[in-house]
Amino acid sequence: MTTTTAPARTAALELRGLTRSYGQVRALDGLDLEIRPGEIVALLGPNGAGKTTAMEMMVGLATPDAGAVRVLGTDPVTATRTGLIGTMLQAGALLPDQRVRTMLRLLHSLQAHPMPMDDVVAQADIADLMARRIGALSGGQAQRVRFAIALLGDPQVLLLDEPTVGMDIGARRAFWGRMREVAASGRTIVFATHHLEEAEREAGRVIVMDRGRIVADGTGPEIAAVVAGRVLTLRGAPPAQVAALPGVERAEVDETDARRVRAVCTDSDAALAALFTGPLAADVHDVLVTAPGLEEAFLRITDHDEETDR
Amino acid sequence: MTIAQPAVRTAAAPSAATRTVRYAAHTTAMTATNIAFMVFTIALPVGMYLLFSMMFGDQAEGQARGMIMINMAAYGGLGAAVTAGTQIQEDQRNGFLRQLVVAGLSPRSFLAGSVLAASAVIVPALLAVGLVGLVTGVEASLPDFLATLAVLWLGLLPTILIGLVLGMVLRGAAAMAGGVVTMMAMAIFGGLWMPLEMFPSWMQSLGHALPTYWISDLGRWALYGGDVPFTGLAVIGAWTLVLGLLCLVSMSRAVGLQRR
Repeated sequence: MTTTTAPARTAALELRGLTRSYGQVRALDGLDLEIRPGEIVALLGPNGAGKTTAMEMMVGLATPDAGAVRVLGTDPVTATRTGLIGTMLQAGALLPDQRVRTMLRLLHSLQAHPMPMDDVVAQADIADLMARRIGALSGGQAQRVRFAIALLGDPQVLLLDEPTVGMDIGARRAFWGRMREVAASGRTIVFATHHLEEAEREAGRVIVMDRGRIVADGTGPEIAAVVAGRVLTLRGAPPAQVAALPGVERAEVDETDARRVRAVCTDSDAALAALFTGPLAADVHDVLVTAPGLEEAFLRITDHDEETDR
Repeated sequence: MTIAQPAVRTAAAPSAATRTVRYAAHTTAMTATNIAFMVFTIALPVGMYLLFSMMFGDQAEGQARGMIMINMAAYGGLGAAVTAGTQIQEDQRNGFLRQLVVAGLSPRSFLAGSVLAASAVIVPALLAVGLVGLVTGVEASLPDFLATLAVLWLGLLPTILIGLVLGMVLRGAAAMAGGVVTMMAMAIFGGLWMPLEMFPSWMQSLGHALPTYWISDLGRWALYGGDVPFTGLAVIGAWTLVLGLLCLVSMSRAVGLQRR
């Protein structure tokens, strides 16, 4: 499921062998990654997976112990100074005593090739916030302002580190609506998120990181397929017998319901056929086949206890 | 899917110097519109000038009034310089420097811009005390008066750097408190509030090592003439050099760039 890489032209982002340790903690452990222009990529992973460190290296805020980063063929500091890359920093500090307009004008004046301020205001939907004092903004409003900051430089590569933190569901939906408009202009977008359904829905490519490495890289459905197919749940049969069915990888008692058996299948069709034509057919009921979402894939991929089996 | 080609960008990106000046201009405007800051840095020295000049202004054939003007202008400038330096640095310590850097400002430009901005926001305090002085009887020709203010303004450079360094070394409330303590110590031991001759000799020796004493002396020289105080230039120059290096070293450790 590794994406075949045949770069027709310069990669938007190219990370080669990035390592970085903070004391005993290894934040990045040989990270290799190539992102093509125009891709929309989700970086998914638990806290401490190295997502933020990787993003900081893409804009030159952090430097790797070893390895190299190229942004559209140039180094991160140059890319930042020339406005090729823009970023929405995680919990990025603002100036709490200032008004939104004042702070944005300051940052706007420093950009190499700024997007017209009116366009920024429209695209980030912050017209109502411009006259507000930053310290008085809600968490979701502050995130809209941070999104505006990322757009100021009219960047070709846009990094968003946990962009929807602090937003309620409505704000989150509105945010992704705006993000899609920004993406439609052909920008490369990389976002880090904890919201798995966001990654599956918004990104063409999902990269799962854990402990400073990439553990999976593919489309949302591909990532889901890592859990090897479907989950079969049923009542009326013991786990051992369900596990013996063809196409069933393992079966156990459901954690939330002791009378239900939960089976992970590599081939749910074969399992169902055997189930209903075999001796268990008369006993089982409430049979249900589900496709595990990205959340399940995510948990399995990053389940440290099982990694030795894999 | 066809991908939009990046727009051809013909206009040159602003140079580091342009960015420095823009950052300084915006920061100056932000500080100048901070009412509390302006009232504090202007009203206090002006009030103290009025008080002292009423009490002692007529001594030494009226030259005392001029010296009080110089010292209170220096005190006002000192307060503005230290407070502005600390405040600017404090904003960055919260992490805003990261936003500035990502927007294209280099840490070095940030430092230079901060010094420029602080230099600008001390001007109102100097002007206010000076103008009140002229109105209340300080006798000076316009060139001498302007030269005095200019000398004070230039001499205050190391006190701006003190503010920046304090903001880099101390955090939050400690930075503000450190700023106030430093400012008071420099004002008192530099002889801005009371003539240094009134103090015991060890305090006088201390005072002679401080830039504030020599800022006042340079002001006196500009207003009333006499020998050029080369010692003063050397002391102020040494403070500027050492503090400037401290700023650069702290900056190269990228203060404010690390995640909190």
